[in-house]
This record gives sequence, structure tokens and C-alpha cells, in this order.
Amino acid sequence: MSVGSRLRLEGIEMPDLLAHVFIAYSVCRILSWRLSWLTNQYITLGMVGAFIPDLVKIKLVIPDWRVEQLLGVPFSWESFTTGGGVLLSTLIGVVLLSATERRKGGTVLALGALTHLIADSLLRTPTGRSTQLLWPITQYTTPTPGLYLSTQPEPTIVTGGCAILVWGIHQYRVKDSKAES
Amino acid sequence: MLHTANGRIFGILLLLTGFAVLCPLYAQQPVNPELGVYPDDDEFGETPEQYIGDTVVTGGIVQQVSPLVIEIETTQGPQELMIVDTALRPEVGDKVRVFGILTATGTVRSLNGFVVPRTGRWYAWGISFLAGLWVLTRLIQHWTVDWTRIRFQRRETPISLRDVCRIPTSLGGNRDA
Repeated sequence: MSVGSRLRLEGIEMPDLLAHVFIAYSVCRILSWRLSWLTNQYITLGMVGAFIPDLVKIKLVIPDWRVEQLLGVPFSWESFTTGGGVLLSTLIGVVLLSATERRKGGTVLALGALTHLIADSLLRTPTGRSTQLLWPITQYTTPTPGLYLSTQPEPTIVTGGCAILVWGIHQYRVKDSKAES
Repeated sequence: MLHTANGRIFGILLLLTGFAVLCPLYAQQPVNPELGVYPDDDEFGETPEQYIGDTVVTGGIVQQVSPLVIEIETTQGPQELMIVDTALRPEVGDKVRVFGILTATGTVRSLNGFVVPRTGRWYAWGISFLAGLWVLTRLIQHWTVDWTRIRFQRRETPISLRDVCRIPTSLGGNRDA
């Protein structure tokens, strides 16, 4: 059964961007304790990567139906929230980096985007399914435990608390290593 | 090949072509409830008779609370949809999202659903805007744009917040090779 129109899945509601940025910062900062090349500059790229799946918000400026009217074919920006869409968006970011930064930069961009997709996979949805991580390879939509809504402040408070804790530990480590040297 | 401005433009156009394929492809996904893909507003709004008795997913802004009526957006324009058998108690202007059975044209029997309060939506937008500002500031502090070759370059030495306010100089380009 094929349908010729936009198909809206559950990725529309997502934790607010600040929560995603806190998660990306925390993950990248913790990894930086092991990976010496993961400097503040690359951590910033990881935080930028956390924005990638939210490029779908372009639909608020140019709705699907307007593009459909323009092109005359079914159209959905929601593909930006799928694994395939995120991969393409990340590759655009990689192309825009200088050649010497592509490997490290691409890695942290992808990591930031991945943390976003994982956080979205925990959202409460009416169907109990959340994101299509492997689309267009498969339509499989991951089941979600339904931990929170995007509009709740709790995820931001919790992730913000974690980010502050990680930041504090990092400051302590920096001070400690300076004292040793 | 991707080291020059022309090469980057070519690469980006190629990737955007990928999106030109993915977006229509996504819109034409077949309904597949076993994999979590259910018909939504566009499908049952356009040809409701095809989906009567099927499970559908929908969502929209509450227009009326008793009975519960929401406005859904379809490719044919906004339509009203009545939600029955629900314990949801939203207020007019809230958003509800429902998974249920299309029992007749314009009527869904709710199996599961929740309310997204209007204030919650404003909260999410406001806080997301702040996140954007924060990351943009860090990006300008830590990276620079080389407009001649259309590329981002890492700053060896991040600039201060004060320098961020002088954006024209901070986007200078070739200072950090």
C-alpha cells in the first residue's frame, strides 16, 4: 500500500535544543579527557553537530505543502531527522571544513548528531515509536520508552546539571595538571 | 577535488541532490504499521475511506474541548478532526497528539495520546533560541570562515567574547592557516 503524501512520524517533538547541546558538550568533554586532540574547538563542532537533526525546522519557514505545490511531487522535510538525512547533512558539514580538519571535525559533528538522535529516541510519542535511524535502508522505527516530552523543562535541567558537573570536573583536572607540572 | 571553492560547491550540490531524492522518497513511504509507520493526517485526510478501521497517528491544535476537536494540517489545507474515547483534558490552544483508530471520516477513537500545553511550546522555542546563540558564539570564537575557499578553519587561538562582537574581523579568513 503506497501513499502519495507526506508521512509525519514522531520526530517532530524533540527535547529542546539546549538539552541537546548540553548532552553533546558533556559527551565531547568527557571524551576529551582521553583524546588529547579533542580541544575546545572540536567540542564546539560537536555542539554544532547536535543541531543537525533539527534542520528539519526549515519546515516552519517553508512548509512541506508549499514545496509540494512548487514541485508537484510529495515532499517531506522529515527526512532530515532520519539516519540517512543526518548522514547527508553531516557530510555537507565535512565538505565545508578545511581538508586538514575533516577527519576530526567530521567525527565530532557525527557524534553530536548521534547524541541528538539517541535523545530523540527516548521521547514520548503516541505510537510508542520514535525515530527511523536506518532509513532509507529500512523503515524500522525504534521503540521508545517515552521518558519525556520536548516541551518539558526537566530534560534541560537534568542535562544542564550534568554539563555543569562535567565542566567543574574538567576545571579541576586542568588545575590539577597545571599544579603537577 | 573538494579542496577548492568550486570543488566544495560541487560536493555540496551533489549532497543537496541527495536530499532532493530523500525528501520526496520519505513523503512517499508506504504505510507499514509493523515497522512503526502509520498513516497520518495527509493520508487519512485525503482519502479517509481507505483508512477507516485502521490505526492512525495525528496531532493538532485544540479548537473545542467538548467534544474534543482539533485542527489537523493536510496537503489539502486544514481540517477538523474529532477525538473520541479519550481521557485527555486539554484547553483550547493546546496541542494534542493521538494514536487511535479512524472510526469514520473526521473521527478518531483514541488509544493513546497526550497534551502539549501552549506554554510548553513557547518554552521550547525560547530555550532553543538561547542554545543557538550560545553555540553560534562559541563557533565564532573557535572557528573562522575562509570565504575565498568556502571553508571553515579552526582558530589556533580562540578569540574572546569581546572580539566576537566584532564579527567582520572575526570572519577574516586566512589568519589561521
